[in-house]
Amino acid sequence: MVLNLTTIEEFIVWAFLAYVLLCSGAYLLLNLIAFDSLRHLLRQRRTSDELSLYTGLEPPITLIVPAYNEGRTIVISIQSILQLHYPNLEVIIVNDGSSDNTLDALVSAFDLEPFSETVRLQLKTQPVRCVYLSRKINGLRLVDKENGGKADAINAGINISRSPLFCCIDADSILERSALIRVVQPFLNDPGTVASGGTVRIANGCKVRYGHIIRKGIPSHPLATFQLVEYLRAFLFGRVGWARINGLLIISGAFGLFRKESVVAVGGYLTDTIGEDMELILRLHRILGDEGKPHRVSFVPDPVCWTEAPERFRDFSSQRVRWHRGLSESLFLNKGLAFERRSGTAGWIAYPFFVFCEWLSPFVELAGYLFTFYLLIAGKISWIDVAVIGVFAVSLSVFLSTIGLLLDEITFPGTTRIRELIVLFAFSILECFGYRQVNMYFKLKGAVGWMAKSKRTWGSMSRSGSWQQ
Amino acid sequence: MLLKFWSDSPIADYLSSSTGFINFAFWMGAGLLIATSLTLIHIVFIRITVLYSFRQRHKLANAWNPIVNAFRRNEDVKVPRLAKRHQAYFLELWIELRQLSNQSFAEVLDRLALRLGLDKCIDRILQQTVGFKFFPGKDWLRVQAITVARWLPTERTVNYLTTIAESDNQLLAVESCATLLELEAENSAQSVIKLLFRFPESAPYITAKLGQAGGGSIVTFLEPFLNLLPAYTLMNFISLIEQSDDKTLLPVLKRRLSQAVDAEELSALLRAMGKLGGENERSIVIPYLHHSVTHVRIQAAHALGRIGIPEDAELLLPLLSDENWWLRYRTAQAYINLTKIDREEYDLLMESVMDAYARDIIKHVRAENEWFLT
Repeated sequence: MVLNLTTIEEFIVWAFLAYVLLCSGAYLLLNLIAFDSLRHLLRQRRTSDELSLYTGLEPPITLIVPAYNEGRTIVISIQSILQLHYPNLEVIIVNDGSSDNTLDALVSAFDLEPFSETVRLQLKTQPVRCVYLSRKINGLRLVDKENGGKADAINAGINISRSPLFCCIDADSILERSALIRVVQPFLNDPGTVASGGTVRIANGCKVRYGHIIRKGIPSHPLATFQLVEYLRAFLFGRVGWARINGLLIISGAFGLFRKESVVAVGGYLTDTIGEDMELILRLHRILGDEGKPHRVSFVPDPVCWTEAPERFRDFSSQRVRWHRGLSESLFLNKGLAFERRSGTAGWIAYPFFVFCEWLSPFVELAGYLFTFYLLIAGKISWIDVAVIGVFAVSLSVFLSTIGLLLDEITFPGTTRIRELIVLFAFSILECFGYRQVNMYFKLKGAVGWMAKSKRTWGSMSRSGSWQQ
Repeated sequence: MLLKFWSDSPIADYLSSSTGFINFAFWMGAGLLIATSLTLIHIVFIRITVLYSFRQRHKLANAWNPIVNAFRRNEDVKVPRLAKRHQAYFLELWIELRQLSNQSFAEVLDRLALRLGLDKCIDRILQQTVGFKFFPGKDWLRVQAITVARWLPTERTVNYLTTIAESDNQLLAVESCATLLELEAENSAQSVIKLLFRFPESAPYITAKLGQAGGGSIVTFLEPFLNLLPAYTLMNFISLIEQSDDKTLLPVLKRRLSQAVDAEELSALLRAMGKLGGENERSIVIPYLHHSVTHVRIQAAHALGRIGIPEDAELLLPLLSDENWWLRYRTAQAYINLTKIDREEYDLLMESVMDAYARDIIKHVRAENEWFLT
């Protein structure tokens, strides 16, 4: 069928195709770069089974655990954290004005006693009511403070921490025992490292005993399964690729290790933004780049933090709206990073990519759907043409998801059962028929909400707490 | 014929009458479907490899466990020939049993291995450059063979191992050196020294592996070369020195300490001094209490707390007010170690110290001592 498209219409169609190919090509390139990093990692793994036998001069780490109304699960979470393998570890729980029994549960479980101490307040936070020290566990402290949000809680933890490195972890996340030993490696290898992230994987469907993953699995809930496919495609190996070229702009708030001195120098976490994790990394790149200080943000694919993905639609929607709003805020607040002379890969490649391919994507996607609908209604294309374009779009998405599955199989061979692999592949096809569109809607909502400066909320997430056994 | 089939097909008709972007989308889609299929095949291939390995291991263990048990009971049992394709798995199984065995069971396993001709098999593997199919690289098989060689050496084993120890393959080189040390081979020290200079970035791994093989005796080999080792490598060997508790190495540490400028190296040496040294070494440690790098001061305070005398406690008092928490902490611990003050003296000390941070840290260490050390 000969199409009667005007020049402008044809140009718009090619522009859409070019956009899709550019973004997908970038993801594919990142995965290829990630593949190279993974090969190096796999080689290193063979010679790293004695990682625990180090010099003993590893830098101490403070693990900061912000907690808000986690009374049901906090004790087991902390018990799990205390079993981490690391020679010099301090744990600070920050009770961010919880209204439930979080404080009481912790005080009684760990024999915490008020223990005031003089602290140099390097970052401004909401008032601290009391600092507790455990009589049972050496190196465990609790900061009880007025509610100020997650960022404020982490800042309070930073103020009181003693170590040159601090690690933020969500109270409901599970870290593998060797996670800290592995995620600290970039700091040992390169003194310019200011932050290091680790892989965050979805715990839904995994078997957990006493706060540790004993068997990996995939979620039984379809919404969580879609998110797992998305993680493998976009989050997991993409970050490895970005880190390789020092263009990583985000480290998950669920698990990240930071150099305290650098974070304090740039002002700590911002409390009036909803994407504080990404905003901090962008600010580190911007300010340290401006000052001409060498800095590196790394990502280690090996250590694993397991976290629960929302299974309720309401929780999922608020999470996605929040993420995209956080992305918008972070990019806007740090727009000075873009094409700045000394910003390196972060400012010249990563930042434009995130604006063009991440932030703009829901708008372009919506415009694509509407334009296709217009062409169809105007009789300029047929249903067969729409099907061809649809098959192209779906096959592109499925290909990228399959690459993610391949990289996962190379990194952790044999850990996903065959039945689960088939399910993940099936979901990588199914996600193009509904999940992506819903995601697009929430991203638009987040972006529009930011532009309209509407009231920000964190929302709440109902936890199944299935690993608290 | 294919071209004719294609040109007659409705798809070709459709594409010829469609515009450029539809053709582009069609062919890109087709290409992506093929690429996806190839990727899936690759995943399946990896999975088959893993499953095959797992099944082979399982099958082999089931087949050989009764034979091993029969040997243990000194029963007369027919030992089957070990197929070449099973060698790698058998080696892995044998190593697992051998590492956990007591002396009598170890003898049983050695007898079985000799009956199977495993020693000759090891030599063949070490000599060969090509491994088996389906295994993730030949390295794995050769590592197994190198490990087994420490229990079943032949005349040629040491020669092979010495050659492999000089290869560019770090994994095999380290394993070979560890085996040479265990065998107390003549040139093992030279191999170890060359290894350290060739792979300095892998010092932690090498240290750990060699430590399992020989511990502090390795450092004795290295003594003449310690001055030439880069700081990062030396730091890892200092941890070995500490583990060995060998005070004869103190002169080596002192010599190196007098020459060191790198802060990390100084810290490691001071810590080792604190572990191995005595009162005679106090005067070497004390000047580092005022070093410009905090980490060095921390290790100096820590070391002085272990080897100092009560009179040295006065020197630690100014450090109690340092801005670095860890320095204050280690200083407070060292002070209390040296003075062995009781509860009343704690209170007097608290009153005499003006600085709030110093008082806090003394309170903290006191609480720790009461809560965790009683």
